[in-house]
Amino acid sequence: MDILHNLALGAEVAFSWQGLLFCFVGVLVGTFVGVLPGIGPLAAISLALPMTYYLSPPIALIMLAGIFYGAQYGGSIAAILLNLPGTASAAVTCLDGNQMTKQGRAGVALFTAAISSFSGGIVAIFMVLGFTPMIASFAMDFGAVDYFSIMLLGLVAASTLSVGSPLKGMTMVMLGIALGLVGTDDTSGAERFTFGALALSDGISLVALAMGLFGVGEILANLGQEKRSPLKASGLTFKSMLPKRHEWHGLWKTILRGSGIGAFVGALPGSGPAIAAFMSYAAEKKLAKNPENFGKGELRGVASPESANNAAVQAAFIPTLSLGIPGDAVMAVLLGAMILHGITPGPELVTSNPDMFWGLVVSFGVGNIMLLILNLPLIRVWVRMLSIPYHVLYPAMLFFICIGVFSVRSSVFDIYTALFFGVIGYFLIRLRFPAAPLLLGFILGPMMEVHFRRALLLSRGDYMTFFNSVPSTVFLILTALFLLLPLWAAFRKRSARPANQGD
Amino acid sequence: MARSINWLQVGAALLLGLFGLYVIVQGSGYEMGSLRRMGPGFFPVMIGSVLLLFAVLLVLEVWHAEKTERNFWIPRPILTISAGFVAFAALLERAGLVPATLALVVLVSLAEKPVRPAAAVATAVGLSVLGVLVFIYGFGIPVAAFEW
Repeated sequence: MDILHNLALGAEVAFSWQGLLFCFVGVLVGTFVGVLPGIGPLAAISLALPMTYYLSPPIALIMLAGIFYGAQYGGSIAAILLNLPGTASAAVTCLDGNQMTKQGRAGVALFTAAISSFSGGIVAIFMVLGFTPMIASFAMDFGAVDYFSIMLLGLVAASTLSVGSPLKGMTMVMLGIALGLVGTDDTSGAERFTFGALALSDGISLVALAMGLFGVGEILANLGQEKRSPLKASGLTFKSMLPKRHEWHGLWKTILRGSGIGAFVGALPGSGPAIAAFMSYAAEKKLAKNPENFGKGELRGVASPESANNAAVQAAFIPTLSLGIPGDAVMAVLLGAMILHGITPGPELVTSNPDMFWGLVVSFGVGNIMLLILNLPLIRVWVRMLSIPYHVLYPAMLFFICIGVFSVRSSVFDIYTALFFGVIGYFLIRLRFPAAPLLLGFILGPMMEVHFRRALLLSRGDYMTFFNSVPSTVFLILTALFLLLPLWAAFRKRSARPANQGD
Repeated sequence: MARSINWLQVGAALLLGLFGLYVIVQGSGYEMGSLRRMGPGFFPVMIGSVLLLFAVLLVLEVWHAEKTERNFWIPRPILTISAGFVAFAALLERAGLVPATLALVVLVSLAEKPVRPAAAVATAVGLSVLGVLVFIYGFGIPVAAFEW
């Protein structure tokens, strides 16, 4: 039994005292940043990244991953109680969750959210277990052309599937790739776009860029807003959280559907938990006998997106671990973390670093159980967290950003970099340019350039080489479909309202 | 009813286009090489061109975009946070972590009205202690608490 042997190896890593401790730290930090609106898992992971240098790579990854899925649990708390999504993926949960709070059923909503997240996580863990080694062995003979094409597919999918204008998304991807050019060219050793600055010869710091765009930028946007509504923590008892029997009825089907949709969508390159939650909610509403109840405090409207977003987070590890291709910006930062720890992500990872892969998968299970315990009996602690005043919170966050960015490579220059991208990030938020595709482009860009140049070197400059391999051709066709989809949608929209405006 | 031009969005798209143009110009300064053996300049020129193209398309897309940008220019938070970061970066290696932290927290606390001096000082002191304990003693980052 190969898989039992592997799971035993994973358990050895995940149940070591370090594995348990840092898994706990990860999910705790994750829940914390998930609860607090305004800092997401991305900022928290970038912040924790320099601190994981002192850990062995598998333990570091266990902790960083814990932040990511822990945030999905925490994100629902602020969404349900305050109508503020703690993370982007909890935005859909606001719709019914906050309605339930207004009806005095906050406890039931919180309980359902925790149970649904847990179920979603567990379903997706089995997907990761089953599919990652399979895809990895399939991808073993991928060449430079295939890698280039699948990265292109991931970037195009990420920018066209995101909320808002697909063109803005793709422009941000290109901007990200352009920023990724800065530094020493891997192939020729030439310095590019460094303005002669020594600090830039290693490129722009990933942590500084991510912290700037998602940390500083977000804080600036929050500060520029009108007053935020304060929270009144109502009496939440464990008893008030348990749903009544008729509310439970048939809910498990919703949770399973949500988990399935979430796991599937999350595994696709370029889609994240937010999209999974949205799709699952839409599907549930379509299937429901009483769709008019959705948006008015329907319990299934909480269960469906919450199971989907946590399943998607877990499933997002499939492309990252099997192909080395991150599905969204958070996975991209995790990929960057692996590279910083000296691990080359790709199909060889499962076989060459088995302790890492299996340890991570087993820790997912451990972490989800920890989160269930953290979120059910201890919910009141998290609710109280929501009353930390912002005027204490944001200076503390800025301090952690400054010191975190500095400690990556002891570079004062990187603090200025974070500030620069913070201001840029603020304007991007206000102008509704999505920053996540930028980060994805920044991380994938340099890899794409290497594969692109290698592919054309091998083919002696013949572009048709990208169509000579079957996987590459399939990826390119899918890319073309993703590009045509928004065009087609725009065309449909235009022809659907024939000349009702005289322009 | 003719909608007016959304200059903010158009301006952003134009800036992106200019940046693409800059990448092309700067990139073409590096060796281009041939298709068979590409130099360091080939990929930048390619990326810059696509960025320029997308930016031009974007100008067309946002020309009449609805104006929903409110509170766009917020000088107070931007200036105070910039001042805090610059102070932190300047003081960190010259004066040490504690002065840098105090300067950062006090400056960024001015970003929001009303300013709460007591809370700001308390936060600054608390974070300084935390920073010294966690980052200097815990992680051993190469900075002194006070540089004499």
